[in-house]
Amino acid sequence: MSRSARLILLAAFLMLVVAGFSYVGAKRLCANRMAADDLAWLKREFRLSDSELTHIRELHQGYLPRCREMCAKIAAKQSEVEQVLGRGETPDDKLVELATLRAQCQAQMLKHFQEVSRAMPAEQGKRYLSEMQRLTLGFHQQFESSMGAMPGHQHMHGDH
Amino acid sequence: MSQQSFNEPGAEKLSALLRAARPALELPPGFERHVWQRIERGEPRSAGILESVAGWLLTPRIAAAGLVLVMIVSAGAGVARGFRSGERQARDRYVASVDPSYLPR
Repeated sequence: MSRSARLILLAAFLMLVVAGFSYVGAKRLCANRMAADDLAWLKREFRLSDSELTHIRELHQGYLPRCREMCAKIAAKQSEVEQVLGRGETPDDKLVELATLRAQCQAQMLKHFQEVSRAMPAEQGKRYLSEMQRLTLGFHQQFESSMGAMPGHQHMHGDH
Repeated sequence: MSQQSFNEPGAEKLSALLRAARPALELPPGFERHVWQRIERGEPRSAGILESVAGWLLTPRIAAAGLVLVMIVSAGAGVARGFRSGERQARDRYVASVDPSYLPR
C-alpha cells in the first residue's frame, strides 16, 4: 500500500472517530438535558407557565408518597399470595385483595391525573388527561383486548 | 588560475587531454529551449488522485476545516437524534414516576 493510501485511510479513520464521539456526545448531552427532571417533559409538552408548573410540582410531590405507600401494600400482598402458593393452597382471597389494591392504586392515579389536568389551561389539561390515560390504562386495555382476540382463548378457559 | 598558466607549455596538452576525457554528447535539437520552457512554466510532476487527496489532507488548513466540518455535521445529527430520544426519555420518566408499573414502549 502506498504512502498516500495509508495517509488517506488514517485520515478517514480519524474522521470516523471524531464523528462518532461528536455524535454520541451531542446526543447524550441533549437527551440528558431534556430528561433532567421528572416534570421537564410536562412543561415542554403542555406549554406550562412557571406558576402552573410550580402548582403541578406541589401536586406531584404530594402524590408520590401516597403512590409509594400503595406500591408497598401491593408488594406485601403479592408476597402473601406467593406464600400461600408456596404452601400448595389456592390464594383466592389474597388474589381478590391484591386486585382490590391494584384497583385502588389506579383510582388514586387517575384522581391525580385529574388534579394535574385542572391545574393546566383547559385545552392542555384535556390533552394531558387523554395522553395519561392512553399511556397508563390504555396499555392494559390493549393487552386485555389482544388476549380476547387470541385464537383458542375461549377454549383454554373452558378447560379450567 | 591566471591567464599566464594557459600559455605555459604543458597547458595545451592538458586541454587536449581533458577534451578527450569528456566527450561531448550530441543533444537533441531545441533541448536547451525545451528545458528553459519547462522551468518557466513550473510544470509539476503529474500526480495521481491518491497523491492529490493525500496532498490536501496534509495541508493544515484543509485538514482542520475538514475535521471541524465533520464535528459540526455529526454533532448536529447527534443533537437532532438526542432531541427525539430525550423527549421520549423525559416522557417515560414522568409517566414512570406516577405509574411505577409503566413499561417504556
